[in-house]
Amino acid sequence: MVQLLIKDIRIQRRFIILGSLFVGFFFFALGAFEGMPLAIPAAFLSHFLIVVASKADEKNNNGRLLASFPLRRRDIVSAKYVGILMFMSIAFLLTACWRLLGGFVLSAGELPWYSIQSTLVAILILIFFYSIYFPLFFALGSRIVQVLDLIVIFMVGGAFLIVIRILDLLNVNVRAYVERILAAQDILIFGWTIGGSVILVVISWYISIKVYEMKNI
Amino acid sequence: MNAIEFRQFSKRNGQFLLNDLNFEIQSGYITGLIGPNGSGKTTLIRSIMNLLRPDQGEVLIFGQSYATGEREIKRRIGFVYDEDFFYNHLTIREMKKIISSFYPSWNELIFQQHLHDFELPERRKIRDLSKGMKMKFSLAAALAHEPDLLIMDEPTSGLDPVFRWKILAILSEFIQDGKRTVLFSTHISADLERVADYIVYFQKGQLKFCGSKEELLDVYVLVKGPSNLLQMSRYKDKFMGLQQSSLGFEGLMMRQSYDDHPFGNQVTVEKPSLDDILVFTQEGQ
Repeated sequence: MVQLLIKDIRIQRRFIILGSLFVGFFFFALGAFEGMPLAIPAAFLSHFLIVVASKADEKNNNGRLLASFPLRRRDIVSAKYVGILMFMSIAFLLTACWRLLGGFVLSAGELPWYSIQSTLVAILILIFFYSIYFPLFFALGSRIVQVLDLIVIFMVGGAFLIVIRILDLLNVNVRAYVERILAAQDILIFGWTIGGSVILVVISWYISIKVYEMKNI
Repeated sequence: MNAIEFRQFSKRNGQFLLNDLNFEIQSGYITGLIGPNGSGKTTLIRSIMNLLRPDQGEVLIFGQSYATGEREIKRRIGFVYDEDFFYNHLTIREMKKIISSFYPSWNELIFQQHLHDFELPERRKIRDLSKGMKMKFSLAAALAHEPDLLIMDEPTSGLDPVFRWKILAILSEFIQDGKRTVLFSTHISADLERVADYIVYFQKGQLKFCGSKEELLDVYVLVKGPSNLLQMSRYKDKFMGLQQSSLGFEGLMMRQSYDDHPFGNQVTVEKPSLDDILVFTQEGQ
């Protein structure tokens, strides 16, 4: 599995540099995210790297190549899930580096700010997204993968709006809940949110393995 | 010992069906997989590589099942597919680093030797390689980890004759120690006549023949003679396939049928080529 992660970095090397420059230029040099949490550009960069890595594996029958290597299919699936953490770490690290560099030329007010809560929310949103994205990715493969992220964004976005609307009708204040997480020192809320996400990822990972093991490649 | 063994193997792939296959491919030899387009060659190769899951039965490689030893089995297989499956934005060197990381037995000297022999520039991007060069790179990578089984899907199609001969020479050399096995599918039966020891012949998903090349060539005879003889002959239905022109007829029949009912001295009887067998048996369908 380690070889698969190294492979992802090798095929992504240019995109990591490109994405990092993009973040540096737009978010810091142009101040596009001035006054916003640092987690936002980091989340964008993470998403870019993870999606490009998964698309690259389906672009040119590469999935068939990987499945022909001495690997079990569950290794290929697991590597994609571990890759989420790997690329998020790279993205957050690179964004933090840009912020550090930006600190030499920009005032503190012009820089994105850092907080554990916003970082956590960004990570949770990404995990939620990929928990839906990867089972579909492994089920549908190259047929739809080039637009799959957009489909999932619209699907999740639509479902999210419907849920909010329903919760509104039930007089549940979602905004207050989100604000509570962002401002929370409350271990219980963190615990529930993180625990829920971990369960979601495990279910998603299990479904992806089952789907991919049955698939004809 | 068998390198590959199909046991009650069935697989439906869309409209296509490989049904209840039972045959073996012996280790230590070159086996050619032949059949017309759509006969099931690529489906069979994908099944051997465990890319397609069987509906029934199983494929054993080196006597092992994929269910228990997928990684161990695939470490011993080198593969060359007929389609492009590399990361095209990478150079040969970058792609090699990825491939070699999966094989503990990777031999860099062998890889470099093949790169040199095939005149492949390491710094060239994969997308800038011609089809033939991609095939050469694919073969170099497949041979570099010193596999016990080399599986190739149409490796010689689209290649110039000089390199085709080179590949065949490499394959012959590859099996010299008697422990390694080659299975390759091709449309170019002349390649098989040159190097194959065994033939697996498929038609419309059905296994038509599996045995030594000589055995296959001995099963049939090619009969040529004047057309009027054919009109008189009550043996017309004995032909597997038949072509007629104003000059005469040419047809393939089982040697046994011919021996039982000889035409007499007005016909010539020849040993058919693999191409003859492929063409006539397909026409006879």
